[in-house]
Amino acid sequence: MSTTAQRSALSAPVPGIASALVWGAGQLINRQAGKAAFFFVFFAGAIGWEVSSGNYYAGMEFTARSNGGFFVKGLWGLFTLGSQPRQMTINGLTEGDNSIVLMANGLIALLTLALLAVMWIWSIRDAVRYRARLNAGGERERSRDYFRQLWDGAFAYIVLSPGLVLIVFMSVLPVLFGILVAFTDYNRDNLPPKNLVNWVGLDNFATILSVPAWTGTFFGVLVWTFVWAIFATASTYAFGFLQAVLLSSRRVRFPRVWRSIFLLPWAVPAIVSALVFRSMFNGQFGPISQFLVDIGLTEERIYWFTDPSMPNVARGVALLINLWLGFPFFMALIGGVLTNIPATYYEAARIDGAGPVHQLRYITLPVVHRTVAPLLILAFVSNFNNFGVIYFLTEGGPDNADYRFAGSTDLLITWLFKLTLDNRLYNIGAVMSLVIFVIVGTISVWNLNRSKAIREL
Amino acid sequence: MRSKGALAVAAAAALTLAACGGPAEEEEAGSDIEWDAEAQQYVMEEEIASGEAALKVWFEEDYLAEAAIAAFNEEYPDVKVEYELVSKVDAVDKMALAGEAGNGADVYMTVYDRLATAIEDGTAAPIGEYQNVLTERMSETFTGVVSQDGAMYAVPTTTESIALMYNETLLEELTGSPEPAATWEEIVALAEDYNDPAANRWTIRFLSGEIYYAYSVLSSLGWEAYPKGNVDNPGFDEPVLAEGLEYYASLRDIWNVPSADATWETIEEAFAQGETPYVITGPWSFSTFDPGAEEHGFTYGVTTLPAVDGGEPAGSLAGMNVTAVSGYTEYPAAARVFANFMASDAGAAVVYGATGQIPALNEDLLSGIEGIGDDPHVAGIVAQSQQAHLLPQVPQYFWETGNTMIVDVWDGLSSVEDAQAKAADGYAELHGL
Repeated sequence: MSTTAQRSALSAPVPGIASALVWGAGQLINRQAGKAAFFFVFFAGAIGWEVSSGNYYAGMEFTARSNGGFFVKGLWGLFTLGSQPRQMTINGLTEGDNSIVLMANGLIALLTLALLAVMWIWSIRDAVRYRARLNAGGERERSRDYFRQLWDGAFAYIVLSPGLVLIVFMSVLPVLFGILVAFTDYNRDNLPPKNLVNWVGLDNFATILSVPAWTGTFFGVLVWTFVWAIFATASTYAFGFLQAVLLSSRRVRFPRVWRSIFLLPWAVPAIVSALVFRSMFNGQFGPISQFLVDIGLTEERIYWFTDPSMPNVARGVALLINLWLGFPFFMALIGGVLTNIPATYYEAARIDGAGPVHQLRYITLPVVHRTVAPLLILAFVSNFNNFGVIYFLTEGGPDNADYRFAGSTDLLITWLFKLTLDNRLYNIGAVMSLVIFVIVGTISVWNLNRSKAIREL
Repeated sequence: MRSKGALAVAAAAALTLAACGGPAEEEEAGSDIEWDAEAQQYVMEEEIASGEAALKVWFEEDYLAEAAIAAFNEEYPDVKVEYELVSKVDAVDKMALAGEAGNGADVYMTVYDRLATAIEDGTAAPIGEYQNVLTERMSETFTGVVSQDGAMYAVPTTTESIALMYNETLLEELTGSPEPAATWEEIVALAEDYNDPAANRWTIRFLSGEIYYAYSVLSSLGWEAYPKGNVDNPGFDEPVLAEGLEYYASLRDIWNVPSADATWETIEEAFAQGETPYVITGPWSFSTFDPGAEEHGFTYGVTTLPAVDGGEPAGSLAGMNVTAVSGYTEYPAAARVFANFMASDAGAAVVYGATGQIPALNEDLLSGIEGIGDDPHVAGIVAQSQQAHLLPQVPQYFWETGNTMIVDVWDGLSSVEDAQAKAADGYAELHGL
């Protein structure tokens, strides 16, 4: 029989459909055994995994809960979150479903399926396209040639793919999990393993809006969080810049010694520093208040973090301490950028008669800013969520009688922590972290898109 | 994704269609563990009794763990007990994860106010028949704190209550008598002479921003938390509380420090250095005060908390360390035997000997423990414990809303009425979610 006759007998979708049913079958029809085996291994692997991890046997009454394997039981768990809670008896907990474990397993199954779906679509598209090419009179291609071509053409993606898989399971999975919890009733009234968690749709969002006392606190805290994030980022950047420029000046002697000293605040864990500062700035018993009284500068002790009538003192001091903690990072970073600015720029500027201020304004600043801009945005985000400094330094204080469960220096993240984790309101916490995620995500994406360093990446 | 090897194996399994299995094995609820009525003990599982498998326990202190296990082995020489060090405060959260993963302890120690969480989490199992044994050995205040719906979920092991500690030597110097004050009025009178805010010299120090400490004043004026013993109503809006809060706010005159600045270190240290006549704290401070008293040459006493003049005796909230049986344990009988042992005569002696903490037993049983009768500091705590109030399994937000109320009043952030209303609303909001 002639190959042309056989070719014309098959329209392009036929191998595609075959591959959709049994991966690699289309490739086999196309007479590419190597490729067919490649796709079939994934297919057989997935089926084998499901069968071997499940409880399949002849004559069973199939239910996903008791017979399903990795994929079927996983998806069942994700959709139902279990059907039988465990109970406490004198013998301990009875057997049953733990909704949270089911949800996690279900997500893993779903993401694995998503990765497998990529292979599936690839196998279908490949079967269809290759047949279409043959039908159009194209040359036959051996599997080995195909894979070699693939290796050459898509080398970067193949090398990156293990990283992609890692990202899916290490980053996407927890994020998805957090988002899903916002749509459940997972809180202290409904804790596994003795209770099942249920999907509740948008109820949690409605709950938050229905407690007006929280809305007031939310906006108050939100404004301060923005002020904090902007000032904290700007101050550490400006001061780090200044230090870096000063250290790079030829007139500074022993620049290495200075650099090491300035880097020290960064070398000490921020939490430890925050706790030390906290006892130093203790209004009543701390040495700083006492010192100011002793030398007669102030008549009474200053209650740095605890005077409710002066919340701005607490905020200012917190910003100063954050500056001390944060500037070494920018100093080191900008110091590195400065060494990369060619001396010829400055020479040319000097010949044109520019003084040091002009050189700083028109050469150093633009070059540094262009390189550092994306990091500024990341610094903004990390300051927006700067849990450690606020929580360990002020614990949110001074207290604010108008707020619920928040003090005057509380950031959104510390308020959220106190409100939800201490009270085990995981679903409400998930809703609020979604809100933070949207705010921070929007700002970051918008700004990163505007910065040159990212656009030219 | 697993390794390629696993994939290949799975593929081979699928190809040969070798996958077969029995019907799903739903574990039947086995027969309940056996109670030996004569010995008043559960009968331990065979593996444990013969030493084939080991019982795993979580303790916070290694010296307590080793002493307790050694004493347990004197009674049950064949039983193997292993211990891991887990702090009491963290034990419940850890158990929730470790239990699910199957590597948690069978028995663990925790603090009483984490127990409500443990019961919700299924990490504390009811102690079963031992309930009748234990109710005879300890007061209802203790068994009530670990009970929910009539079932006990942990074995009260040690008790603590805050009490008034006073520096006898310093008091003798100041007032001519080492006798402690019985009322706040006496303390206020002493403070008028002794206090010097510029030099941080205070007559009395305590954690002013916590309802746990403020409760003695509030209860002396007639307020009781959870008046109906019902978690729906903490009693924040009772008019009698307003009176107590007004009085509490007036005490700011003699301890004029913002609540957040009055930190733990500053309170303990000043007393240990012999500079402060009075301090309100619990038995956990003995380990700081004893060496301090020796070094700075003073003696100190422990007594009941001061009352308000004309008011009722000052109450306090009973605190306890408890021993719980994990709901995930595979050896429910043996685990309960060990938990109960911690409140037996031998166990109590070990606990007191190793840690100096007071076993949560009736007074007549306590006197049988060596050394405890001669300890005047312990006597003071026990005296205050007699006045301690029973609190049901309170939710975490009782402390938060209550502390906020106390801080609002102490720091003058709002009027007493506003603080009460805010606490009641905040409690209701969190309770209603």
